[in-house]
Amino acid sequence: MNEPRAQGSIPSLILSSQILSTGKLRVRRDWLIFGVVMVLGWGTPLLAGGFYLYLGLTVAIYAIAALGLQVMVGLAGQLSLGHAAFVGLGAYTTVLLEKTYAMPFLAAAGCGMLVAGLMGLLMAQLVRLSGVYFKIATFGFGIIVYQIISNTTWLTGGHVGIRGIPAISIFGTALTTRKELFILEMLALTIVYALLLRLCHGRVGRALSAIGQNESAARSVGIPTNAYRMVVITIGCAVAGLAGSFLPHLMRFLSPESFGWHESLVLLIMITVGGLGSLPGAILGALILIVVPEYMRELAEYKMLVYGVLLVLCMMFLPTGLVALPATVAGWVARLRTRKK
Amino acid sequence: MQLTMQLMSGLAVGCIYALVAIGFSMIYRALGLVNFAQGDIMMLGAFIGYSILVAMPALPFWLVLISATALTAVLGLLIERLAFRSAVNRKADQIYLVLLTLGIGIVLSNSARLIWGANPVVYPIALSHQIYTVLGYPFPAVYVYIAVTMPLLLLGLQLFFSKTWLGISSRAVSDDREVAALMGVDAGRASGVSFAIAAGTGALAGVLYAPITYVSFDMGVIGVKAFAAAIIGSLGSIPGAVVGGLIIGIGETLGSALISSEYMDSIAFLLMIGILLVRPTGLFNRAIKT
Amino acid sequence: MTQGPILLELKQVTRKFGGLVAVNQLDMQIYPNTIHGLIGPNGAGKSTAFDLISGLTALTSGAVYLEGRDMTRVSVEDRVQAGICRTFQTPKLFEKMTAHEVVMTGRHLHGRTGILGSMFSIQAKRKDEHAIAESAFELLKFVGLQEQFNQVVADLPYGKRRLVEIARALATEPKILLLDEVASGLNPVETKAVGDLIEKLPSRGITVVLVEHDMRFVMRLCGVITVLNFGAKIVDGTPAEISTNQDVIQAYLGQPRSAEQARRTLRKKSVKL
Repeated sequence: MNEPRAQGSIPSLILSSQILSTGKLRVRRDWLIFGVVMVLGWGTPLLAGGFYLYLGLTVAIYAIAALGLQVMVGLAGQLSLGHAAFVGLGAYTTVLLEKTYAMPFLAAAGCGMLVAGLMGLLMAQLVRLSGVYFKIATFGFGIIVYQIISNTTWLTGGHVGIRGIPAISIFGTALTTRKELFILEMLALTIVYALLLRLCHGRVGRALSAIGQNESAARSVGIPTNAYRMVVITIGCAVAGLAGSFLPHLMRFLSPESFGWHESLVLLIMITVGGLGSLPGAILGALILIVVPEYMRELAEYKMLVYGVLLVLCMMFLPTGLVALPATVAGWVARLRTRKK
Repeated sequence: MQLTMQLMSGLAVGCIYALVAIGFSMIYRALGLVNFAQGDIMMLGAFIGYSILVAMPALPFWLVLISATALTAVLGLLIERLAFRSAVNRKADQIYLVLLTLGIGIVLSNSARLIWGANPVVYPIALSHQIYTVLGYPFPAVYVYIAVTMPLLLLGLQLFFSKTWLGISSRAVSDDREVAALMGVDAGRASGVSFAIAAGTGALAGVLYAPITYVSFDMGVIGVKAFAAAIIGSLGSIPGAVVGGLIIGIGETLGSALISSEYMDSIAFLLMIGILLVRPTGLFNRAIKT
Repeated sequence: MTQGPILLELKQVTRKFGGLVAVNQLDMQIYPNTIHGLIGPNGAGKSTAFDLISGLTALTSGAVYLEGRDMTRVSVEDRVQAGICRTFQTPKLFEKMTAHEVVMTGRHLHGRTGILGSMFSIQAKRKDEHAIAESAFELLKFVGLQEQFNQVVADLPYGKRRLVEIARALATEPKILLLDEVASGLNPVETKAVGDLIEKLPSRGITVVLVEHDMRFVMRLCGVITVLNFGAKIVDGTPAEISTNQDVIQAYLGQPRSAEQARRTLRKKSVKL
């Protein structure tokens, strides 16, 4: 009834394939980048081994958490200031189930994702609150979860923490080497990255992007914003839970310290420095924020200070993040050129 | 008797929260900015007060209070000028501004740790230990300072914003930056003033809080609870910030005494979330800039 | 004169902000496949009326009916699904997207891929995306923006941004399109183009309501005009009736004049704000 009639069959066919291929180009570029990241991500630690493998293990975990946060914050604009708490929920759920019920890892991690996702859904009920109020509510939520984890000592051991983390058991076999753990983590990262990328390409991704850029405009074209906000928050938190399920197996120790306010901040810095809204940017950010301090061991004191300065400078001069560096530099060059004239 | 003491200390802490919350609300109103560095500004003010005392041990507390506040206010001006001015002017996305303030907070707290050391310090004056006995109740002397400062400050702010040109123009800029600019108001200066005042009130909070306990580089976390206070009282409302601060101060002290002290930090946020569920824009329902 | 069943009806719609009555017991009937004008001096309550119809603001009292269905408690998103879509005085676009992508968001309600589908299906998702991209592009062609389809909307000039917003609104396949001061800020060429566009809509089954300050625009396009002043309706009528109505003239000009003087002044009054 409302479809405008075609202007002329053959010319419009040609034009149509033109416009469709532009969209496809973008999709193809994103998958190309995915390929490159995966080759580097799988290849470097496995081939180089040793220290690189150790770094890779940590980066992979935080990359997973950062990807979830990126879709939530960078794409859909739902800023969450307590994200580390959900990583913690995943970690504790997984470990407690493994230790108490000798649950195999996959099932335990699944439960970890479930718990984190459900708590995310609970927090998402606060979307009724507008902008700022929601942000601070997420912060408060993170603090409350952290305190609950820290204080239910009978369950979590509180600040003393949990030791004797069992090795990951998959289909009966125990993963005992770092290499095996890394392969499992990378499998998880690959799947999460791929699925989230597919989500971003398409109707739902577009709706989330619309919500992130102009929520009231999104509503004005019929996008059910509150529902989508809740969904994306749940997904982001569940993914955080997945990341959390690996962490204690890497560190061989579990305590609330890894899931506090500072860690939430680090996650936010990761997605921002990499490039807000960019999935590879989240992975890049995780890489940078974990690798760089390792090489600055002597200056460990200054670590947070450097993070802070990095963040401030980034926000002031490079708000689109490192993935957009070429474009930003091109812009500077262009502006300098016009000023010289 | 216990209860009265709890109430007193709750009120005192509540005033501290209120001071930080006032600054927080002011900055939100003036710049549309959620300033997560507000708590760290408070910490900075406390440390500046400490350094003043170390340099001039005989200085009366009043003067320490005023000079630390002034110095921190100047610092606030600098921060606004250097870091925020450009971002606010290019109407940057909320999230960038939030991360910017978070970054500044990290820089402030870690710089403080490097300058003053990681160990907490105590103000080297009698006030830190002085306790009066009023009607049989122990009454920390610093409470007097708090009790006098709060109404004076509120009165001063009220007069400033309604009677002075700088104050009125700041309000104009808060309400509508562009229209105010059209009317010839220097939006930059007005924002700078708002930020400076907010930094000053943060410093007041810090210097008044220091004698109650101690000063450490991570005491900015206290400021975080002040955010909950500002939200409870509706962001942007100064009387709301005061009421919010008192609610949290009293709620926390009573809650930790009656229920459990381990969850004390959560109480502030539980209260906040609870109130938001019933009144999504806070108690004072001020028109919010979205 | 049979016009068929009423498409959109406002019954005693009132909106108060504290002591200020922005819209005062407004009754309006909008018939299908018409272009209906809503005019009045500044502050007459026209944009508020749009906010009430689209669901952005809640009614203080009264009711809004779409095809007989009470929309009072229906959310903005659900009203779009029911067929009410509006544009804004200043176009609200998704700045980082291209024109094509913006219009594609308008097709959201007519897409079928959900979250699981986005992640796991290949064929169905491809077909769905194809359909969305095609229909969005057709709409860009309809408004004349096919050349700019791949440009980021933040870089587009004002007139083209308006067209993108109209295309996006049309993408929702509305029954009734509310255009809020769609001609404001446009030069005469652009204004004529938009007018031509709007003229074509009723034949496609889309009813249009125009809030406008540009008198010539309104008189040219609208079959029926409702005039508001101080939030209340002064009169409904055809353009000819409105231009000679004493109350309308008084509302705009302040004093009664002859019909000829009124027509001249109103023609001169095509002042774009």
